[in-house]
Amino acid sequence: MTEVLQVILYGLVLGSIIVLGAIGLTLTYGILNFANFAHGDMMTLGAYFALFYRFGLGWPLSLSLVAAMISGAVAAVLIDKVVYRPLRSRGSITLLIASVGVALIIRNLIRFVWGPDNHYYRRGIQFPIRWMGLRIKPDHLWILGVALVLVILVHVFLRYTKIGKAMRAMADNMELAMVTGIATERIVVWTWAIGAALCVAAGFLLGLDTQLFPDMGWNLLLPIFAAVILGGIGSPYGAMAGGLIIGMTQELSTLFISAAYKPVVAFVIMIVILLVRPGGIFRTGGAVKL
Amino acid sequence: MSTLLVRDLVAGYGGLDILHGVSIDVGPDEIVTIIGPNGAGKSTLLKSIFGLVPPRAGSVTFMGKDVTGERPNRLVHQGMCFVPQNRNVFPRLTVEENLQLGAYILNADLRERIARVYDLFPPLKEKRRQPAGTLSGGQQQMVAIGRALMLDPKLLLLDEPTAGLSPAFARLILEKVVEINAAGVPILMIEQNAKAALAMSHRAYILTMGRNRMEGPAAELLENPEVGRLFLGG
Amino acid sequence: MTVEGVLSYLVFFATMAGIYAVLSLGLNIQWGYNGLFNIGIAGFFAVGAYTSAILTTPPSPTHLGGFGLPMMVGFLAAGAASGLIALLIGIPTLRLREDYLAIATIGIAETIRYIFQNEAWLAGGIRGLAGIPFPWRRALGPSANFVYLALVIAILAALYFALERGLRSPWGRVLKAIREDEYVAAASGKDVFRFRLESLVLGGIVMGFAGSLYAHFVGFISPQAFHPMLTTFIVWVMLTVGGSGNNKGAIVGAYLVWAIWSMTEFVTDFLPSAMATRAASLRVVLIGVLLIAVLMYRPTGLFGEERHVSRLIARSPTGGSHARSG
Repeated sequence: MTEVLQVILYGLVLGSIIVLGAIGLTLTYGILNFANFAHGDMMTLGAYFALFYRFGLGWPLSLSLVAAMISGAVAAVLIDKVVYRPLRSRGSITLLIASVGVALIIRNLIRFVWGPDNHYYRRGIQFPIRWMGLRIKPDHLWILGVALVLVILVHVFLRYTKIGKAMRAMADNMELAMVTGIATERIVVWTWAIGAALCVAAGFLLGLDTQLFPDMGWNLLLPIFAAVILGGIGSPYGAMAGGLIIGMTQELSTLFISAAYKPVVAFVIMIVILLVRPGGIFRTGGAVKL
Repeated sequence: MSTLLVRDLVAGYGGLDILHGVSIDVGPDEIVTIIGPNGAGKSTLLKSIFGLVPPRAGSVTFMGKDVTGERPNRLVHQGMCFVPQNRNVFPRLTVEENLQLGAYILNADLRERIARVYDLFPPLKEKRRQPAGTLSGGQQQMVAIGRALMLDPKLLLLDEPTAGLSPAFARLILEKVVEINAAGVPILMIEQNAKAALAMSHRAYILTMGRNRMEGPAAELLENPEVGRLFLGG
Repeated sequence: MTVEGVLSYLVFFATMAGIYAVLSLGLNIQWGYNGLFNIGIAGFFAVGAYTSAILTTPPSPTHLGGFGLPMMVGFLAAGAASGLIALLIGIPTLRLREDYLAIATIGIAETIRYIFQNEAWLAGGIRGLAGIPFPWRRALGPSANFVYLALVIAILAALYFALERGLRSPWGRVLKAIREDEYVAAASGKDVFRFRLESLVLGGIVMGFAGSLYAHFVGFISPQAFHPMLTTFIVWVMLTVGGSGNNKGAIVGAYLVWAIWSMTEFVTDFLPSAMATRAASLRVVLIGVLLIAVLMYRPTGLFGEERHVSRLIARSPTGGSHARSG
């Protein structure tokens, strides 16, 4: 039983990282109507930004996170301006191909600058807290805490601000949003910025949980896509639920099969969802076009 | 002065022109209906007026200002609002949020405007916290029209507001259109239910193959035997 | 570098580029002609290579098989196995949106890589499979690579002519019509799903062939060689540069991009070894920039597409499936 609880804890940790990644991906997917394959590598980039602020400039870890989120947001907006915007009129598949190019560029620039080796935010071993038979690393509490705060902020932003509502509206029905008079290009910039900031936070937390290496974000991209599709493309709340479910299932699967297959588990869930409910499990009707 | 003045509008998709020079007027306080067979270019005309399909020739004048080919969000600022035929609500947003987005460009307290929409469409009030996608087709149409009314439009464009609705709901929606017009909003509408539409309109245009075919006071067209035979199904 | 050195390098270059050209042709069947967005090329390539390797290597105690069968058998089986995988992926995903197919194919490619990486009993795990034979290597001695190049070119040419014929046939025209507008194609009574499946499977078979050619050429394979981004991605760049929808473009694009890729390797080889590993990543950056540049400035590639479809079926400018109105 304790073993299961322990695994559930790991599932929560992984799940919250996936959630943060999935919110940004689902928003750009829904609003710009393309699957951004560079999202995982943006995560990695963010993690390395934080590494730079932490050790390059010697800032405290928390400040490094905030600075990295801002840097990631700026980077994403710039990438949109230089690469995606000129291609936007050419359709979602062209954008998808371009994002694959962006993914490789980001990852290999990281490899160029920081090298292929692992990096860590902290040196030394953290001693886990023992609680009811569970081993809880202090970092895990940090991860859960940061993720929770960010998710609440996202919720408040999406529900109660004009920009947030416009974002949801655009993810729901882009043409109608234009008819309504929403200045869509401005909201697109906001979407990239916020999506990237959350994605950077996910990368940072992933680095805090394990280590930093150039493929870290790419390895998490499939589970994040699985979460987005599970929750319904363009639905940030769906992405939150989807992320938790995927993270939890991935960790629980290690009770039965080799941990090496964790990403495959996410993929299998995704295929099943595509077959059974291609609009996501929370589909409210009308949101999905074919 | 006409609220809307369209002259010799040419527009289409890709390499294909669908409108070959259409002219229409909408006066203040009028309900003007466009009827015609499928493929006559009715939807394209509305979209082209609203800047969703760029006009290739001709002109659109709105409230005395040339707005040919203006982007939709600019037209919204000038008081032209459009209700598309399909996918005309934000399905995952609540009813109330849908209405709020109708007045997105305003920085004002919207409560009074929303209350007015609820007065017009009482069923929406009790559903205001529900995602619009969960409503029935007729109620979604109410949300769509309500959304367009949030800006107090100076001209309302409706693309087949009763498409896909039950006869009872269709009648209700058309009654509401008359009510909206009575409150001083000029309306330009496409309607496949031509008889009912003519019965409630001031004037009407008949389009075929992307050109004006006939026009006149709606009552006259309704009486015209040729119109009856060709466009009203006998 | 001696003359023989240069010559032998050129043979190596032409063979590798030829193998990639086969992959590029395979992708052209799927994407260029039918609009199927496959970014799991590495998976099909790997299945082909491993199938061929397992069937043709001598018996081994450490992994499955080692059946010592002739290379020809391995080659055909590689195509069959890869085609079968394509069939299995296609059935659930081809009715879905095109971007879902993309995500599904990359998922399958990753899954395949994880399996080869973790299941040592199957194909040696991360240590890979060695000793994949090329039957006449010993007998031919130094000229073996020439013969292999001739073999690759012959297969490439055979595929090219077969595909040109097939894609100019009514079957090929239906594929293109589906890519242009699946609704119109469906409305004229074509079973869109079946045609798509055929194009996915056929492309998969061709990619499996390429895998087999690769395995027997290098003699050693490991999961490392099938990293999705590198194998898949470079093929996409090749086809995009050459011009998708054009078989000639697919082949020329493969040679051209492989030449650029190889030349950058020369440059990084001159650097001190400490910098060389890092600079190697800049080569990939360059390829990425090339892809985006082609998309922006020459979206039809060098050759553009040969038109077989009526111009009346104009592609909608946003590429989406908007409701058309009248």
